[in-house]
Amino acid sequence: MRRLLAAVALLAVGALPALAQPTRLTVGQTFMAASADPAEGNAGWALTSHGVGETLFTVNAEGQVTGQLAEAIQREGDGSWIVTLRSGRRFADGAPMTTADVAASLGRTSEKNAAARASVGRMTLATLDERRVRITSERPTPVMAAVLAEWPFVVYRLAPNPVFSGPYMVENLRPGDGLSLQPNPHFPGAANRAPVALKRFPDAQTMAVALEAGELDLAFNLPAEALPRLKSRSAVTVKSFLVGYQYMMVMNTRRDHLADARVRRAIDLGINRAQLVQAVQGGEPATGAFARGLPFALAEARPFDATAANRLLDDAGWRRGTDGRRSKDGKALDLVLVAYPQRADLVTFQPVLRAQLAALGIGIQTRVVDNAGAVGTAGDFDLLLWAQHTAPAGDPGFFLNAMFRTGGGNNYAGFSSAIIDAQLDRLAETGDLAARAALAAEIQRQVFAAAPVSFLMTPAWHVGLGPRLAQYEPWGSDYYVVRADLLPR
Amino acid sequence: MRQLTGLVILGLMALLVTAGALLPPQDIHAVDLLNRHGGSDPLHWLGTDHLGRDLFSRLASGGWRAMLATAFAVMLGVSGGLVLGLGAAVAPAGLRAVLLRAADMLALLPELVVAILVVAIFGFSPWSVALGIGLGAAGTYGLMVHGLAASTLGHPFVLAAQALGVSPVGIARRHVLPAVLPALRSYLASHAGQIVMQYAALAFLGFGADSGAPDWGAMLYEYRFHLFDDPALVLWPGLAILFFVLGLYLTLEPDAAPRRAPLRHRAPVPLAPRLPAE
Amino acid sequence: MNQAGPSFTRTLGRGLLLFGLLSLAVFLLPALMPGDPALTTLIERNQEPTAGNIAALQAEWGLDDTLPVQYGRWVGQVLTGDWGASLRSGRPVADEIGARLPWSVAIGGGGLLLAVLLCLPVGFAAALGQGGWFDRITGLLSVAVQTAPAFLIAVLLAWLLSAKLRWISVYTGPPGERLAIPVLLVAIYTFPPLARVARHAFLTVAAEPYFLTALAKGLSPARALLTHASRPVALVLIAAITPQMAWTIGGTAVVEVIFAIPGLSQFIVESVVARDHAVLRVFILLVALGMIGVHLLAAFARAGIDHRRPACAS
Repeated sequence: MRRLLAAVALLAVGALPALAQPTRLTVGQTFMAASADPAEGNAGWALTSHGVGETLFTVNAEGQVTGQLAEAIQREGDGSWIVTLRSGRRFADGAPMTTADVAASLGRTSEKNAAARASVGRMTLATLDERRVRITSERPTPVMAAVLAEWPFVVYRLAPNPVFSGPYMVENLRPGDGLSLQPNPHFPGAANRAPVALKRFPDAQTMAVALEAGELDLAFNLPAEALPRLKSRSAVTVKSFLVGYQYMMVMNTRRDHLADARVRRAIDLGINRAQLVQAVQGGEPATGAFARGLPFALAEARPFDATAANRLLDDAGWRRGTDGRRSKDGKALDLVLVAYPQRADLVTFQPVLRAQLAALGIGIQTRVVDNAGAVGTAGDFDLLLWAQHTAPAGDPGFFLNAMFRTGGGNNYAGFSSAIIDAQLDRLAETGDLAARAALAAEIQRQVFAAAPVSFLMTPAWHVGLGPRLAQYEPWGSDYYVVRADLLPR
Repeated sequence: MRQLTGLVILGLMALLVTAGALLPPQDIHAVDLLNRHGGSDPLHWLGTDHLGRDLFSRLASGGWRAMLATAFAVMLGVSGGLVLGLGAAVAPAGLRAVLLRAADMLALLPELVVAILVVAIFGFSPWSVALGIGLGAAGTYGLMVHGLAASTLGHPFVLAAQALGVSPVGIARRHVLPAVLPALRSYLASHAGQIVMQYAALAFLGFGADSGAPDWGAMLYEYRFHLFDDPALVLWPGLAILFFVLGLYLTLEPDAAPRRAPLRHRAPVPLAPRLPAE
Repeated sequence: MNQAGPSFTRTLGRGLLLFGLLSLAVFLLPALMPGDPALTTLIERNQEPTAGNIAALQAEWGLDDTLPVQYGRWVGQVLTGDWGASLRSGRPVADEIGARLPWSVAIGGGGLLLAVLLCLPVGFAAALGQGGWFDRITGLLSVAVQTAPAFLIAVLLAWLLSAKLRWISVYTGPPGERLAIPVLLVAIYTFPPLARVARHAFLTVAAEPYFLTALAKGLSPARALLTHASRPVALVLIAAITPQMAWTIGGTAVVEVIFAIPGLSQFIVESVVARDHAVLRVFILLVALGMIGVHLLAAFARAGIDHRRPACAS
């Protein structure tokens, strides 16, 4: 009955041309904003992903950092940066965006949210005139545009709740359940946009059923196992795209068996990445630390060479016994391989890797933990399967530093190389993008040689689309899902 | 008769699982990506899973873990419950209050929440899941045992035994335990299979399940995505659990009340056991 | 009824003692879990977990103090009604839990209610001698619910009703449509034990001398049962439902995940994974308080129904 009434009401509204607006789109996702204030937690990330918040700079579909609210950025002699705003931008309440808004909002976030201080420390902003803001950071950076493209730096206006400038605005937010978005009337092209209902699904298999039931126009990040069934439905279009969350295997260099680089390289060479791709039904073998297509990614897939791997292990003194298993000085080459269930693909990898490494004579014991970060930091593993977005803000520096610098925050391998540290120092001073890409390539090759980490594959995510959104093209992992070009047919 | 059927089912399963675990027809870790979702053939009696591993061998090797974990949880729950409940029934007032409060506390929290907390603290394994479930059950059993024991202790023959100087432990063993055990058994019958399910539920909620050490609950979780395209993967561990639970149920459940004449014939009805208040 | 007063006080005192013990346990439990919320949070947010960043987050959350200091502050906060903010979202824990509790209570409470409504006629029929099928049905159901994992049944049911038959909008429909299957599932899973208890209670009454007297007076068996059984059956059922109340506060996580219902149970699971100490502590405390409240209510109800028995017989 209620539905009937709603239908009648919709028809009545639709009959008035002045009020005609495309009907609501329903989008299913596995994550959503917990709050509408970028100063709280990781709300900035979700708000940008939902098409609500905008940052001064952003990462485009090609993985390049480009201006969004900002037009230009320039480095000053004293290490500070001057950002020039685009003109004519307005917030969703119609107020024009001023440099004072930019300075006030980014300053507030930097002050209140520790997440905003992770890359360069505290930021100080000063307005210079109507278009220009000076930004000074506690720790200097050669690539401030990439820092400003990070998710915490959403620009907003306090009135007194945050008001944003993206193509959509939040109508209401139901924590953990979903949120309703309305087109922002002050964003160009608002008349073509439909209201969006965002629905959170904690379980991806459930989301696939909801799409199959016709309850969703867009389902973001579906399980590969559901694809054959969904593809057989004429109303559903499935699109797969490579995402930045690289799958890798960290090798604990502090462990006796893995202290020898030859053993680590043998393991790296002995992994058949094509099989891993096959096991999770999507994605591509890794070429290095970054997803193919990014400006600083390498072109060639990592090699698989069992013969060379066996030779390296022989050279390192690990001899095969009669049962085919390797040992040295009476100790077997047995390793513990850890994965975590939050990334289901990594758990699927475990048996496949176990079989592949068994072929090299390495014994593998698998273990699943729910707090992989703590296990990694404590070094309580031999091999750790890990998924991480390696270029979240369109720059290679963040990941390489965190993972490979001596004492880096994600350096779970306990790895230390004077050469790589020196290369990273140079990277920290290089502002030119082409030079940064070349340096990133150099560092990756150095990492291949020492093999503290074996890059496994670049996963693909799968997006299911109903008839009204069949032309939607996904890109940018989970950073940009609801975008200005989400237009219903 | 029912008990015999139950024991036969359990015995056959134990035999099959032991044979399968000692002499698995196939290596349970052998991945064969060219033979995914393979059908039944002489090498793979029940076919292969999504990674081409032999389903029967995994089922057999997982059986012991599921059965032992169930036994562990049940033992923990029952012994903990007996200690708490009997202890509270015979102990002096001060100790009784402490024991009852402990039982209360364990019984208060939802079992799944206790299990999640225990797993988060001790890591995910069949044993920690069993520990969580056993702990939760100990509280419930304890309160139940105390209720039954307290009413038994009021009987004249127990008071007489006390007057004759029989020790509290002796009283508990000779008079209270026989009154308590049948009710416990019935409770167990309807409770035992939950451990395997809880294990699957925890895996489903993201508390990990190691496919390197299969067991029935974890297999259900691992194969759940194939519910629609290869239901056999879910069906076989499901059937294994069904027979296990059925066997336990038939063995433990006391025989159904003797057939009564319908009321309209006004025959006296046997007094059903009175349930404890809590 | 004159006995209900003092024993109610005793129950309350017991409750308070329990609460004191619990507050300590509750505070310590999350701290025992290996893993650091600051580290977990940084990784989830794709930020570098450097020592500085970890320390900054810990300072923001007050995790850099010693445990006794944290405990003192926490108890002080809780007693003044301030439950703190979730580490993960930064929003007040009270708001986070308040938004989710109604969903869980609706599923758990609705399911229990349905199970009770179903088990009464079954027990009634059994006592009237028409329950020959009863043992088989309850036995079967009791084995079935122990055998069939909730998550598979739930996915299948949801798929059948929404994708296949398209009867209801399970995920994006109005609350009634979203809650229908979850409530049904909880009812199915709680029905067997309750039915067993109801049957025992009805049978016990049917064997009482006063019941046989009523029959002798010429009352029909059904009417006699209705007249005499309502009170004792209600008493026994209240006792049986009390422990089942856990369903309403934390027992429905699997169902909530599958039906994408933003309930409390699901939220707690996420909070454990994120090691959100602030949320977990308040939750465990609430569960304990809730269950104490439920026990008190049950004691009250029993006292009200049964004039011969003092409240809180256990």
